[in-house]
Amino acid sequence: MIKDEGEGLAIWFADRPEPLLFDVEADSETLVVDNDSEDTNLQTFFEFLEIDPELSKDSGFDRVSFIDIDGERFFCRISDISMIRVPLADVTPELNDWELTECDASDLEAEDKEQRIVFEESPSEDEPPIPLPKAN
Amino acid sequence: MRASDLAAKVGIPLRHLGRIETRVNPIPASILGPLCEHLDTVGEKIAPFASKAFRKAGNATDPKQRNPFAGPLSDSLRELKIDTDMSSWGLKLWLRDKESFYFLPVDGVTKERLWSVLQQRPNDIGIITFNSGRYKIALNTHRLLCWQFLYEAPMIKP
Repeated sequence: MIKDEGEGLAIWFADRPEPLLFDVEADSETLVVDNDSEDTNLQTFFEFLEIDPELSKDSGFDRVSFIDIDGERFFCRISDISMIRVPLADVTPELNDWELTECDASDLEAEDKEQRIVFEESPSEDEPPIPLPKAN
Repeated sequence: MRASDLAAKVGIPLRHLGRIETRVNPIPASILGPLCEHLDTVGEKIAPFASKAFRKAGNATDPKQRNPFAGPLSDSLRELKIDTDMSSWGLKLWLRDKESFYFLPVDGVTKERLWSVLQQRPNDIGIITFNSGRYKIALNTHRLLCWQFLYEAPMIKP
């Protein structure tokens, strides 16, 4: 199985085989001190994720949140997250601006199809199972 | 020159050119030469923060000191976060409770950072973030079951 078409925010939680997918709006401003708002939604989300786990436990900030496409805030516990994936351009306004001003959307789409990157792959079903040792 | 034409001439994906131009990803030393050639400029203009290293290498008489992939120039460039790794790296990982494995292309600078974190203190970190291809990734090292760093693997484009 190959999945690389992922747009939006994907979160793989512990104990769930498939990721939860969220529609989110791309950040329109670069995060600097004291400007966190809906315009820096994803950057703020990632910044909180990187807080030292011990600090976050002590301060009670063991949860993180972001605003989805409907404008509603989604909360989850950091310790329940296995992995998160988001398009770089959504979390990097200067890159988003570059893609909008310097590129034709058709060029990017064509490239995405051509430059298919294997992101997720199941172990091959063709491989024979590893034989178990015989019980004596 | 259109960005797509430049990317094609240099031999990298268009989105990768954007990540380099906006300094989201490090400049690979391997494309500095082709970039200079097609933009008709010099390395100092493309990476002004590395001008001292370029000038020192330019004045050197020993060709070894001008090699961006080994020796003193490579060390200086790496310190300036220019990717001097000639391999295309990928992080292959298995998460706890997941059947699939995941395959994340990374540049040489990111590979070095991940290597040092994952090989030396995976239990202390928690969430680590990095860029992989056209994605930003946040990975919880406590949920990481096992991992491999693959070089020159097919279909990897950092």
